[in-house]
Amino acid sequence: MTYNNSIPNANDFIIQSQGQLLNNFQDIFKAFNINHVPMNQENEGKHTLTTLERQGGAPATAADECALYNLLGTDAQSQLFYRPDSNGVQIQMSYQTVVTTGLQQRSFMAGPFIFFFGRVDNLNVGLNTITLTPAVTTLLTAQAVCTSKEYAPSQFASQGFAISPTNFTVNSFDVVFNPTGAPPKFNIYYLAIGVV
Amino acid sequence: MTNTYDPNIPQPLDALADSQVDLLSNFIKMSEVFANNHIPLESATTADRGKHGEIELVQRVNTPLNSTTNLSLYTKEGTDIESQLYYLPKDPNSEIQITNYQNYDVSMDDSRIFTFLPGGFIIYFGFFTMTSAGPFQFELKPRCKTIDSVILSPKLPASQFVAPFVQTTSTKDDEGVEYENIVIAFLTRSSGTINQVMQYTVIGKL
Repeated sequence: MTYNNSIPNANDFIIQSQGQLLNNFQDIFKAFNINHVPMNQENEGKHTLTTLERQGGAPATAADECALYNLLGTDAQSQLFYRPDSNGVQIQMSYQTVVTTGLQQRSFMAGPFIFFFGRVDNLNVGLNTITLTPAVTTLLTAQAVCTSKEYAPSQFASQGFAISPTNFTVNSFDVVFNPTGAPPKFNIYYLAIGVV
Repeated sequence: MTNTYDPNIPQPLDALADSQVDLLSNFIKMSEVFANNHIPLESATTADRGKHGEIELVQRVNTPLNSTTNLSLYTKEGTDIESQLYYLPKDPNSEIQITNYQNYDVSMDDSRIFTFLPGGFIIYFGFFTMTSAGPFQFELKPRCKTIDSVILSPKLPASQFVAPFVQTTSTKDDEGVEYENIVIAFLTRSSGTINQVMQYTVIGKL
């Protein structure tokens, strides 16, 4: 039986209402256990998790409230959204994956932006293409700095390690490495931000 | 807990005189419990009833299950043994740790700012002043176990063009735990000017 919000009626006898009342109390107890610490336990009413079912559109927000909810994102996946008060412009807060190991790692920022970063080893003099996974809609920025643990500081007092990120595409950028001397092995650290 | 919610009342042979107390007790209890984290059932603003005033997330042991279109937010013990906020976009294998640092407030000293990125990352940014062309050592606080990326950008007029170069190194704490928390900056193609302001962004893991 499902929860019945139309009982008891004015002319019902208790023999009739008893089963309906019992059912409602049991349904309330079971339903409340979902996402919440059950009643009659310490922390009752607090959350064990918050499950957000996908909504069809942004909810309305009043002047003194904001909302967190699940909507289909631009990448056709359920995503966490935030809407400021007074029906403000909603912001996608999430992306569905992060990478936390390896030379290319990534996270995300509210916007939604994907934040790529990492290291490329054994850079070639001249043009090097850094490929980003996944592709973004627009690559907004890419920055890079030379690094090498094999190179002693005394070796590059007169060297120049200018490096120029350029040629942004949806899944790559180039770095042009143009040292003034003849360096040994070189690596770069990089950071790139794109729109999901 | 003032009273106990009883999901097993009323029973078939209960007289209304007996059930009335039980019914009242359950209604009171529902109201009390629902008021935790939620706008109370008795709120004068009918439209607000059922919304959340806050969401207190009691630490879980296990990753929850999701349907294909659901999202979940919850807390679990993070790598630093503190409760951290987790996000589950899809199946349990897609779990993402959102927060990762709470022992100190996020710094707002504009020369040393840090915050976190989803995935267990910490991101530092700000600036330091190099008093020579290098090596100049800059210690990250709080300490991170690994540095995944460093970006340096001189804040200089074009006439003092330099190309930064960076290395990293480690320190150990009193218990021998190793932290890659030192950025070593160098200036190349320097015109000899010192006291160069260097802007930095560092991403690492605690």
